[in-house]
Amino acid sequence: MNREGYTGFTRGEARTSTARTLNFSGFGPFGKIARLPWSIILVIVAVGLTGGAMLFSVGWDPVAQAPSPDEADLWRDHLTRLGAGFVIMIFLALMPLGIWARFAWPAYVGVVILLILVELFGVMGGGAARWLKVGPIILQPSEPAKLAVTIALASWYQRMMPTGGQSPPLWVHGGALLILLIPAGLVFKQPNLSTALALAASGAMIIFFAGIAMRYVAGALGLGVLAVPAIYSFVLKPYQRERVDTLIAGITGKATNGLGESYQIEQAKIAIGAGGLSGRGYLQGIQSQQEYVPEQHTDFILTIIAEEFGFIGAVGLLTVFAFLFVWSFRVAARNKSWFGRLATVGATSTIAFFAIFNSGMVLGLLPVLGMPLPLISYGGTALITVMASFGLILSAHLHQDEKLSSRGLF
Amino acid sequence: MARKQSPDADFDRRLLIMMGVGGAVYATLVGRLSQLQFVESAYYRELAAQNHIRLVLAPPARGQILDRFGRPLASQRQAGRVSVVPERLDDAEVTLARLGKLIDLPDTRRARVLEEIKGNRTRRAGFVPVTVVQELSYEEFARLRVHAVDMEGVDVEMASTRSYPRGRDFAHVLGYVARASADDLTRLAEGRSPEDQRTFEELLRHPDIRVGRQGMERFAEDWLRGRPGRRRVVTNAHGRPMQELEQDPATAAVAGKDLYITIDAELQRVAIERFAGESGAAVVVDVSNGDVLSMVSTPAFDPNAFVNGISGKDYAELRDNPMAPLYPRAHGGVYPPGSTFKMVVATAALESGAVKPTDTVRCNGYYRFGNRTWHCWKKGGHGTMNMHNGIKHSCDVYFYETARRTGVDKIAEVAHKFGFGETFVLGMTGARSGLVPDPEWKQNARGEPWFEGETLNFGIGQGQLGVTPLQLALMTARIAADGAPIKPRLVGLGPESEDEVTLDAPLDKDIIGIMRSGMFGVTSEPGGTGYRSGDLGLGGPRMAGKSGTAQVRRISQAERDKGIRKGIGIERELRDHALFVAYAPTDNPRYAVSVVVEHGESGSGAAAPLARDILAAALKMDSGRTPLYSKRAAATPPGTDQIPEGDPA
Repeated sequence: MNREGYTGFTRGEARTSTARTLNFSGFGPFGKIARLPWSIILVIVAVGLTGGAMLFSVGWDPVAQAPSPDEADLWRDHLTRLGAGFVIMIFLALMPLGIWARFAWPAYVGVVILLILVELFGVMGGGAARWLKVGPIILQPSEPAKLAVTIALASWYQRMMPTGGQSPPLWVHGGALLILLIPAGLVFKQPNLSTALALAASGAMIIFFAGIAMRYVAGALGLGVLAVPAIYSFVLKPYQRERVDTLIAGITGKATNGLGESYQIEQAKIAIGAGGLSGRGYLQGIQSQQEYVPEQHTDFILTIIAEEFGFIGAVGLLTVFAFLFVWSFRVAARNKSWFGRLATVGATSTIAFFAIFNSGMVLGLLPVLGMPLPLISYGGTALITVMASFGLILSAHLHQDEKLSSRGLF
Repeated sequence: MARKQSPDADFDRRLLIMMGVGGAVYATLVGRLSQLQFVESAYYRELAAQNHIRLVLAPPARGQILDRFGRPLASQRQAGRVSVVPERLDDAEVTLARLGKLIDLPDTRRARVLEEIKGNRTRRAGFVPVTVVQELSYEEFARLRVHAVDMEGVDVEMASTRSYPRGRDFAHVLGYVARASADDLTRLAEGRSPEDQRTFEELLRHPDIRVGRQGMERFAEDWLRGRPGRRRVVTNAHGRPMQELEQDPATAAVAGKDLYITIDAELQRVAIERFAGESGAAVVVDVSNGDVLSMVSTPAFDPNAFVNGISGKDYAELRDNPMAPLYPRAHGGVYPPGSTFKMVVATAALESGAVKPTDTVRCNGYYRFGNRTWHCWKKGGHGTMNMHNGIKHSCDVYFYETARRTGVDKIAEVAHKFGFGETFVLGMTGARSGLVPDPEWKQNARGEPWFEGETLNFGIGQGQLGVTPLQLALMTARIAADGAPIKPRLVGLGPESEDEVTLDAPLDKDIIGIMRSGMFGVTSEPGGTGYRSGDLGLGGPRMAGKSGTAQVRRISQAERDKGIRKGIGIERELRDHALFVAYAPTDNPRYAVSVVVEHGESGSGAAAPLARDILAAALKMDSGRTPLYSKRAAATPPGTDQIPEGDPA
């Protein structure tokens, strides 16, 4: 990993050179399409298709031995969105990083304005104002906010990173924190805790990777640990506190009443545990097929994978995710621009945060929040956001040698 | 920091740190998965199995009630039923409105169904079906089968329901069943273990289960109910059955036992028809063994109307009907026995020795005692009367004198010997004891001493004395049996009842013989009050009997002077009740009967013909022949407790 002075061939350059030698490329989009990492794209699509298969299982009627007509839309919708997401992902992957960077600030400002409009005129739904209705179009600005904040922060550091191999001064990190906190605060206020957390997590990741001194990292972590009791007592709403209590009771093995808050997590544990090593088989998950696990098509879809495909299936899926994240980190490591590196790290963090938080929540290790499992859970906007994030990572892979000017980014 | 690093190198270092953190997170998740899926997997598999295999209660079929020859009086019948499953309904009101266009669905019923749907939803039992109509007509069933198939949440199916094929005939004997009320739950669950109680409550709440609310249905509830079984069913999270698992024979439902009663349903029919719309009661008893062969109370209600819940309006109609169809006259109706009581007075007189059969009393049509005058029913009097003639002519003056000589205490004692003042439950509800007055009773009830004049009224079966038609029939049976003990029975084969009365107080055969001769005189000697009714029209056997007229109110002196005694000029409700007790054949009695025709005016005129026809029918149909259940019982090897299955004869 010695990149002193950028001498010699990196592996990416080697591949590019190979592609040229094989006469695949030339200029223009077709050459680029050929240079896309198709094996990785195949893995992403395969995970998405697994989601479709699991949604088909969720919609299966075990009595009729046929898809239940009420739930047939689940997998069809998912596959349609996967198709649309695929097109978006490829399109975004072909965007040079310079264009991403150029759109960073307009996108950021636009998203913040939309979030303020939601705050003022938002449509209520499920006790929170998250949607903006413009004629027939319903917008949920907190979803694009994830990507917009990521590229805005990456762009900020690209502009502010001192030349000459020094770390940026502290005020640059302060500015980044401000850029992060404005939209995160607006989303938190909706309230949409899960998205606010995801924004904060990927933003913190970017600041961390931009080189903030370790003592600040340690300080922030220490403060965070100290703040836990205060947050529990003063910030959390009673229903959120109950979820935390349920969680602690579940981890410590204390008996719960199996009703209300703990019912969902109890039933999820039963479904996962009953799966055993190799699972009950596709469409055979008794616990899942009989609708014992609430929200199984969205946040709790991991339970049906764990029940029908067992430990092998669940660990397999986690491993595929881990592989995608490691590969993304390597993309970040190889990118030559700070924008490319940090945008990749931010996008990866967003997806990883959802994957980790969702699994932890379903396994009873983290409190229950509305966190979908990337690429698998039913839900259009989240799927598109994840595919777009992968598009950004793929773009960083494709354009790893792109030289970005520090100017003209504002 | 010891060594100054370039941001690039630092970036790579931080990537490694984060990958390390990620690796730890990955290890944690995999560790948790292996905990759940290896270590605790068996536990969760067990929980999953418990989750969805439910033991659903399988209701037992209720036992039939059959007459002595196996004719079904209460049975289970398959009928079309329409029900709705609340959790599958979008809008219950819309669904019910659509059903209302296809079948007859009164607004009151609709309101009740909506209420029940709401109740099930609040109890989080939206999967428990709510019955809309329990019994559909054939046309309605067919129509719904065609038109309701596409209606979400509507089930049209065949279901078992209680049915009384003979309708009103046995309303007061059998009673009826109804959905278990809170009262029924506490009453029936009493004395069970808590665990048992839970199952029991579940059973009683089952939509197919009815409990006996009145009559024999209530008395024999435990006998008829049977034992619920358990079906193993896979249910989903909402409790909806998804799949039926194999049935374990050990947990199958056990049907209730059939109950035989001693009544001959055909004799019952003949007796009811003979009343021809008049209100009243008739009881036929087998002289040889006390079997009640017929028990008529008319008018009656249709118990079928109660099975699925009678509407408030219909119930009010029954309750407020001036003919009182809900009133169980045969065993719960208390009437003054009038002259039918004279055999009791005569028996008491002979037992006490105060009167000899040959002692005579002169009847001039009235009797003076103290400063009052008591009248005989025959203006002008009967002349000189001995005991035989006193009974035959039903001479009141003879009995005023006889009663006065015998004394109230002795008459009351003998009345009790014949069963008056006793409650004969026999497995029914609503039985009453009537009243045999005596000085002690009067002192307690009224705080007044007994006046001797009251003894005179007592002597002709009037005054405070009150008896039921059942008691009269038993009295007659004891006379017909020459005073042998009689144990009245209505349950032929069914649960034993502890508190049944056996009439076994000794009665002198010779004394009873004089009563029988008097009763023979009534129907078979010229001058007897029921002379025309002695011949049963069977070309041989005759009946012996005694008429009675029970005053509904006192006859005023003014009316007596005007000659108004009966009928014309008096409203129906004020007219006298007509009574007749009889047995047949006269020489070797088999059946005893009592008949009360309310406001029938004349015992010999209105009640005697009924008694005659009922006895004739009993003899002709041989109602007392060996019942089916005793044949079956004899065929069952001793030591086995096998209960015969009933089948329609």
